[in-house]
Amino acid sequence: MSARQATISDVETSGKRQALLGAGHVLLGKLGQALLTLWATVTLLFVAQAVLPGDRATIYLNVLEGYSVTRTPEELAPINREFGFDRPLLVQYADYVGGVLQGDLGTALQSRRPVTDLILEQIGATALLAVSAIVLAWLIALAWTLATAGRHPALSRIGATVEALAAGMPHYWLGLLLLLAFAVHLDWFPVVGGDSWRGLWLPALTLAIPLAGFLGQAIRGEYEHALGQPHVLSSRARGTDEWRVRVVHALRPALIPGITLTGWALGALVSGAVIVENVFSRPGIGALLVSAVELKEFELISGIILIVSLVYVLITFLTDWLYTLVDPRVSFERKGEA
Amino acid sequence: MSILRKLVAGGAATLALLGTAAVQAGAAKDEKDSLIYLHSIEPKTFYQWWTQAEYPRRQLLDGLIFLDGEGKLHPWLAKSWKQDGTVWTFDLRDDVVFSDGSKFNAETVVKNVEFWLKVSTSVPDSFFKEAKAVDEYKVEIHTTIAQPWLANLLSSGGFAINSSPSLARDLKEIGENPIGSGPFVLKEWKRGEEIVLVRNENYRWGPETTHGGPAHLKTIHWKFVPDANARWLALEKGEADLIYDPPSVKWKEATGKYPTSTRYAPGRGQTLSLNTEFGPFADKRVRQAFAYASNRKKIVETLFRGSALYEGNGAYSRTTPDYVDLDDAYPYDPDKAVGLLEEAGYTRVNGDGFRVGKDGKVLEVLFPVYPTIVSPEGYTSLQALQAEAKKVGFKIDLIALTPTDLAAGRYTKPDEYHVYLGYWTMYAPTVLSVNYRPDDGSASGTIFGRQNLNQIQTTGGSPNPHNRVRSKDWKLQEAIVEAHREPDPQARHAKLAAIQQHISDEALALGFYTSTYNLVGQKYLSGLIHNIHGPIFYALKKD
Amino acid sequence: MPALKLSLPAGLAQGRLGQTWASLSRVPPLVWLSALLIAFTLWASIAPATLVAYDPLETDLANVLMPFTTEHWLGTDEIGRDLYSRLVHGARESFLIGLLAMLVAIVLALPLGFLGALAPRPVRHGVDRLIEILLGFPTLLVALLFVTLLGQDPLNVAIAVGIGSAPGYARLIRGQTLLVRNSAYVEAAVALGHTRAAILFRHIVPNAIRPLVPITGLGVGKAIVWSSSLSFLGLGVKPPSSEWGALLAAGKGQLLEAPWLLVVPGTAVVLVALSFSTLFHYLQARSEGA
Repeated sequence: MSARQATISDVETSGKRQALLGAGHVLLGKLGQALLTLWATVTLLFVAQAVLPGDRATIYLNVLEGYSVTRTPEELAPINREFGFDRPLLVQYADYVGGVLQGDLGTALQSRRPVTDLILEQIGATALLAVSAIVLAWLIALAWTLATAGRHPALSRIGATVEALAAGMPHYWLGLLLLLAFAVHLDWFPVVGGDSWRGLWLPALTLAIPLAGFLGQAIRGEYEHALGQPHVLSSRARGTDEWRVRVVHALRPALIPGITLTGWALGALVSGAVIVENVFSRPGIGALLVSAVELKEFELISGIILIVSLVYVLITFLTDWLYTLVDPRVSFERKGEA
Repeated sequence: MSILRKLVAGGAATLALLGTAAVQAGAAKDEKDSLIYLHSIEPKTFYQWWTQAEYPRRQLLDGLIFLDGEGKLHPWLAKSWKQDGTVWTFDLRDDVVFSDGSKFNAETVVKNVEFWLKVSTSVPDSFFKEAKAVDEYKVEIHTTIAQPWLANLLSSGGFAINSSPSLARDLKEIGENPIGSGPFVLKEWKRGEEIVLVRNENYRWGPETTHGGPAHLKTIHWKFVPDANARWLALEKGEADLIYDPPSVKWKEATGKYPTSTRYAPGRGQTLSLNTEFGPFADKRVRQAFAYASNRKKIVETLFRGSALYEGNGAYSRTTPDYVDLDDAYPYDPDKAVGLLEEAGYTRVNGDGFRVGKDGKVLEVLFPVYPTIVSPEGYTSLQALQAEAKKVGFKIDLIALTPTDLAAGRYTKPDEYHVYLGYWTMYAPTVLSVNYRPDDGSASGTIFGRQNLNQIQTTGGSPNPHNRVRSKDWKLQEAIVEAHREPDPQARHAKLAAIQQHISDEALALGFYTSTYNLVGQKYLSGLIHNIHGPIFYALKKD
Repeated sequence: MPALKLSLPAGLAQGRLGQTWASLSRVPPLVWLSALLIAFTLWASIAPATLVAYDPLETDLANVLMPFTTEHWLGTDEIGRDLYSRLVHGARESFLIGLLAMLVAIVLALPLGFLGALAPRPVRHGVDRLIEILLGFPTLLVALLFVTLLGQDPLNVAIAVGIGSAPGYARLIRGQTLLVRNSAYVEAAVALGHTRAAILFRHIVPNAIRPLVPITGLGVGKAIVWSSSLSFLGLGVKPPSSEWGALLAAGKGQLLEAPWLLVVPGTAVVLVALSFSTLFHYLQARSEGA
């Protein structure tokens, strides 16, 4: 059972692992790769914006004026001129890339505010939510693994089943159940969390539980495998304290897939956060994104995706570094052709 | 090992932090001079000509005239006023200072009137023409025809007074930070979450009937919580002092447990405007059949449970002057509807249960629904309407528009919709002129919303975008103008009653449900001013 | 391609389901249950009218917000529509969207995956990079991006979800293809002097595609969850359609008075997604010969 979900997660993570490139002298190369990734992201996003169907100037005018009418070229011309929609695409592209390099992600058409400002206003709440969720998820996964794995087979099977169930929970479903149970009926938490700490619990748990399921699945297999390794058996034979055996000898190497997953989980966390913020009426990137989609604020959506990619690239570096800490046996080497 | 230890330690620290914070969080009522108000819709900018932008703006900007909760007009920034034909003269207060330090005088009013004229086509359609300063504190507003309800109109948040220099800024700034002389000033707008208003300590010009000095509350947290259940729960748990629109299913419970306040918006409530130019509703019999078949009253009663009322008058609402009760005009009568449809040539019924006309065309009605205008509950009511109308053979296509569709001008072309649900808030029968003036190609219209508002202004806002019925009936518009010109109130009432009856008889527009402002507050609140334009928090107190 | 070398145990990559559910004769009851539920959903998608007594759009204003009764098994909503009928009729839309999304994902992923494994080196590297970059985009965000581009209707939701999940499958196909390409029998075929085309079409492609069948089944469940998430946010399918996400979004409004309007469609999504994953994991384990 344990490996069941692990196969899916592996589907989604093995490539990521390969993307974590070498260290040391490869550092420069990795930096290049990262920059390349970001450049390609910027380009993809620009292309998507450029092919946006529907006239951007018309949308802009109508949303601001609260009317729904078709516009004459005379009305649109000044808007096109102001935002530069009438320039050749290559010029617009160069302008966009140049702006991104200076941290300028453009202007959101509707609110006429810089995208960077809009995102910075909201990203704190989402980041706090994501980090709390990761911490909670790790605590849950570790506790669950230590409690259920490598013990009685029946217990282990139950543990794995619960992990699989948790990992498969849609966020909106879990969130609404938690909201109903703990905020509405038990009244332990506020319904409108806002930016209070108390309001963070349920949203963070909603994100953390499926993530803990994923982490647990990844850790469990490795952990149980390690428990059967000769060095663990021998240290047990030497009379080492059982907890020490489990935590130091077995759990530590088992953390690697978990760490890999955490890096990967960023994407899933962002997706989840959008939904969780909606369920719990929390401010953050999610609400911003939903309104951006409704208003076709493409600059804003692109900006958010770009920021997420940037964070993703950074996290990739970080997880790489964490590997070497957790398991010194992991060495970076350049692999030839796969 | 170390990393594990760090992880566990970090996790434990986070948990501890969350735990302490849980103890600290307090109830709303303990903050005596701070109000937590939960509202539904967050406007994109404060300068939209839209009730949702006007609610918060009302707390920041004063008006010339004050409308109290009972519907009486009182002096505010204007000390007195009088109408003489097409000219209204206002005597102004001489002690009012805006939050940017500028003074309020006749010139300020002139600047504001110029601004309003640019901002919405409905302003010229309300017969505003221009403003002239007579002296420092006396100003005239001229209208194109005699406008007996100018004072009413000026009491709404739409016509609140901005500081004169602040209007020289571009619209983006006016929209982000309106500068008024009101009892509160905008401290912060945390988008997606709340706006924070703080007391204007220099405020001395509260409207007649109020305490006059600075507001009682120091701070207002005006939070945006789109989900009605969340607003209600927050009130129940003491997280909020006052909420807007609780869920309909909780309305009865709310009125029993808490002080509530309900106001029905003036102008037109949520009304079904039928396209009389294109599609099946060009035929009066089909319009009437729809009115008989749609079971509107029952739907409203079932779904809204008293939180909004059935409104049978499609011309205008019960809080608008010279309103006539037309709730019994088209009772639910499917047989009558079938008779009218057969008379109109829809004699066959196809396999799906829809009627087919002589030309073989299915009786199909395009119904685009605007998300900013129709609430989720309103959308559910339309699904019920769709099911009811199906029983006599109408095929109603509900099209839930996205704000983008709306913005792109989709479904507004003459033949792209057959029915439209929407309200128009305006405290005067003049709403008829806004909704029924045919397109003459010469009406003044404006383009606003651009950064360089003051440089770009075009005229020729035709067709009138608010004439959703697509009325081409100049006689109707002339009758509306005539009613405005009538100096005798009784004769005026008769004329307006006839117009409302005419709109009902022709089934141009069918009333559906009231545009309602429901407020539910904690028992310790007092001093809420709630007029038909919305709430004013100036005199609100927590005991 | 330079890559971090990791020694992961086989358990993570392949699954030890074989040990748990050993033989053909003993198909676990959970798998049977899953298969049954999927069969029911399929039936509901093909002929919903045979399973229900009410029109999913028919209102009954005298019986609104009814709890579970013998006439209305799963109760009624705020305008008296029968929830069970709506759920069954909604199965078609949810299921079709899930299926279509999966198809879109596979159609996009196949060429990328094959190119990433078999193309000449520079192309291969480029494609690899592209897949990695696309993987950095959260699925929901990409889906939202394309819903924005294409507009909100069921077809577009399916396409958007398909595009959002395509990179994951592309990498999977690429990995599978590499595995086959480097396998002993392909080496044998090369040694025997078979033509490139023959090797490609007779050996590599079929063997790379075969494991996709269970993966596709797994994906349908996930796609149903993603598209219902979009509807839940109000950015996907809209009522009066009774697509399950739309039902959920509408049910949220009655959270306090009639929580079943929320709990029932939510449970349906979770159960169907779980059934897909249970059944196809089982099939996957079986196909791997465990």
